[in-house]
Order: sequence, then C-alpha cells, then structure tokens
Amino acid sequence: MVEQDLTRLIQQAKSGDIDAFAALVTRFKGEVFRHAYAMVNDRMEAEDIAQEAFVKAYYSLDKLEHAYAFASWMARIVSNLCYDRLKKLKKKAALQTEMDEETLSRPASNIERANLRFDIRDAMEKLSPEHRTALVLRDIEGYSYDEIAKIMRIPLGTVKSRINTARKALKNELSRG
Amino acid sequence: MEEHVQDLLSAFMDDELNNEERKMVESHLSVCPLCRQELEELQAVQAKIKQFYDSVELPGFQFEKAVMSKIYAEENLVMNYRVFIWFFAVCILVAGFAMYPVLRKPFYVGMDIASGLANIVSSGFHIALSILSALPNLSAAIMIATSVILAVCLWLVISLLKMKPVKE
Repeated sequence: MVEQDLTRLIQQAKSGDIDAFAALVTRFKGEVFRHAYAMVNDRMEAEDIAQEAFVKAYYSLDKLEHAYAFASWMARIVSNLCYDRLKKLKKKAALQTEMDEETLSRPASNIERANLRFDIRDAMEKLSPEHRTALVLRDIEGYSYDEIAKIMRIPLGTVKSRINTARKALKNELSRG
Repeated sequence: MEEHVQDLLSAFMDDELNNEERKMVESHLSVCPLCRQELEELQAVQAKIKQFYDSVELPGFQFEKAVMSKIYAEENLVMNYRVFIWFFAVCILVAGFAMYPVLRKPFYVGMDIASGLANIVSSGFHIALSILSALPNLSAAIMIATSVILAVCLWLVISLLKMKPVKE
C-alpha cells in the first residue's frame, strides 16, 4: 500500500469510517500478530492480544495526533497489552508450578532435560519482557533505535544496551541448544 | 591489540553508531578475528529471528471479522445504553404530564411541608446565633481554646520530630 493511501486510510478511520478501519486491520494484522506472538509465545494468546489491540486502537483513534505515527502507536498499544498479559500468565504459571510440585512424584531426569529443544521461541522466552520488546521492535518490526526509544519511552542508551544484551543472551541460548 | 568492541557490535549491525564509533569498529574488525566471529554470530541470530517470525502463519480472514464484530458489539452496547437513557427520560416526562391532575394536590401539600421544614431549620439557626452572641466573653473563650489546641499540636509535632526510627 502506498504511503499516501495509508495516511488517507488512517485519517478516514480517525474521522469514524469503520470500513477504513477494517482495511487498516487487514494491513497491520501481520505486524501486530507477530509482535504479540514473539512476546507471549502462544498463538491463541497472541491472536487474542492482537484483536484486543485493534479494538483498543479503534476507541482511542482520536488520541492519535499524527496519521503517519499509526504503526508506532499500534506497537506501543501491543507492547502494553503484552506486558499486562505476561504478568497475568506469570501469576498463573506460578500457581500451576505450585500445583505440579504437589502432584508430580518424579522430577524430569537430566537426560530428559538435555533433550529439550532450544529453538528461537524457547530462547526468546528466557529474555525479560523489556529486552524481548526491544528486540522484537528492532529485528521483527524493523524500527530504528530512536523510534524504539519513543515507543518504549526509554532513553536511547537503554535501547542500545537492551538490544545488545538481548542478542548476546539469545546467541548464548541458541549455541547451548 | 586495541580493546575489543563486542559491546558496540549490535549497534554496528543496525547502523546505529556515530561516524567515529563506526570507523573504530571497522578498523578493529579488520584486525580482530574474535570480534569478527562475534559479529557473524550476532548477525546469524538476527537472521534466524527474522526468518522465524516472518515465516509464522498469520491469522486468516476470520481475524478481521472477529475484531470488527467486537467493535460492532461494543458500539451496539453503547447505542442500546443511549436509547435506554432517552427512553427512560421520555417515560418520566410522559408519566409526569399524565399524572399531573392526580398528583397536583399532593404536590402542593408536599411543597408546603418542605417550605415549613426549611423555615424551622432557618429559625433554629437564627436562635443558635442569638444565644451565642448573647454569651459574655465568647471571643475570649474561643481564643483561649484555640491557643490550647495549638499548643497541644505543637507539643505533639516536637515530640514526633524527636522520635528515632525503630531499628530492626
């Protein structure tokens, strides 16, 4: 889609054109879904977050100051939703672990542990949500460090160090597998 | 050999270094196989991430349908709420007009009672003021009471400031 058409579509959506918004959903669902998927590492959760992000965006469109900033504005919405969801999932997982510890009689052996497959998703899951977000915005969505700093509302230096740390951690995880 | 540049390699890959830093990294890479290898490994990681998430299958057309139906559902809810509010307001008005002949008498009686009550309250207030103003040395008594309260407050603040935190 040409940049001008996109800007026009965003402006139409801002002025309440629901069909224009539907076209925006089609145009941006890839970015939004991939972002959410890379963050939560679960297809169903990611789809749910992506849908929620678009619904939230629809009702906050009047807060979007510039049409050209739509993509980065969406990225911020998705990031925030992912943080919230990860917090909830962490609580749920902690509860599940407690239950598992009570019910499991035999822990996994060393051999079983060694057989665990370390792929990108497993390695990504080892990163903190903040490091993961910085890496997702850079390597999956292709934002510059300056744009990432604005989306995440953190200093440029922090973006640099988060991406650097995240890549090193990923490299170590992947080389272990 | 000069210092390694591992911490700059990530930003170097992303073309996010200033000119000076970039030249320094380039010149270091030309002589350091260790940092070159680190750069290659980081680039491989970046390529893997991109490749993996680019190949993820995206949700189908049902995704747009789900988003739009959620929006329509919320819109309908808001619309229904507005319709309900208007309907309720109109009902109240119609009921008011329809029952006016029946409720006219009780309405005036109610108004009389309310105005009587208001008169009682205002008279009570007036009486209280008159009693207070007739008391001798009232202002002096108020001044003394205020001074005592202020002195107590001051003493409390000073003793609070003198307190030491409890150590664990």
